[in-house]
Amino acid sequence: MRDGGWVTRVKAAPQPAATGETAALTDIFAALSDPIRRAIIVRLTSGPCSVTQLSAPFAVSAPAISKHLAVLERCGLIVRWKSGRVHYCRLVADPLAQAGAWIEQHQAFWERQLDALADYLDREQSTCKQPPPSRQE
Amino acid sequence: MQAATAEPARIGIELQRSFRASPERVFRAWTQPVALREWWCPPGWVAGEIDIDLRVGGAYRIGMSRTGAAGAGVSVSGHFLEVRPPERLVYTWRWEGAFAEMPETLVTLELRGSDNETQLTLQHDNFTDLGLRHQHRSGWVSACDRLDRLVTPPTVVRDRPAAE
Repeated sequence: MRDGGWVTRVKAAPQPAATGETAALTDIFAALSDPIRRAIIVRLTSGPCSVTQLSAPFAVSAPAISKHLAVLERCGLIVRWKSGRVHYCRLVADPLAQAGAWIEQHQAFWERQLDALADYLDREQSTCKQPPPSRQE
Repeated sequence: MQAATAEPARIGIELQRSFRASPERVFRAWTQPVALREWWCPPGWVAGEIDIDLRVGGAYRIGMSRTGAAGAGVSVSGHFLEVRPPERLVYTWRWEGAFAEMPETLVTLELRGSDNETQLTLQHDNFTDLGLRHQHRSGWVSACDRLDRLVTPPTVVRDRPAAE
């Protein structure tokens, strides 16, 4: 039914999309397409941490983690730095906000399209239900 | 690196909506140019050329432009990966003239219903490897990964169970 017929699964609350020379959305989505990299991002949302701590939950080698971090770093999702012997990394919000803005725009687009489709179907239906004009006369 | 469990991106949106019409009517409204002209364009826009080759591998293109404005306008184009009227339609999706830098994405439409009601589920997913995505179809999950998952802290991201 038209009313209350909505279920929306995405509730992103993005900032306005970053402008300038930020990484292409394609790269961001590609970086986020890997479950381990997504899990790394999730971990970093609670704050910066050392690469060692970061690697702990994953059953993958240190070089593998390092590769994943390089991918995330290349598209600007994280930054890495070294303090003494310890490597750290943290999240950078902008690219994620960009991805979020993309999703939000499209969600709004589809909501509007589905409203328009519902209107169209109702119009079409009411047109069909009317008897042909010749019989009305 | 661990055995390449390279997963397609499941970042995208899923919408559900009911219509007071049969799945056949909804499917037609979604795929026939004559119907699309009636509802596709938002206010202030008019439909341009609409070409739809509704078969697997067939291409489509839906153009529109701002009312009264000269210029290239905006279009959506892609090709069909699955065509199963009236219950399922899968196609690629690319904007031209809008949403700069937007990668090609995938739209999946599922229609279920009766004579006078249709439950429509629309997924619009971003993904990076179409072939891969298609191979993994059996593993499709009914819900998309949401961006908010990225900010909810489960330590390990588990794959959701398959839809079936």
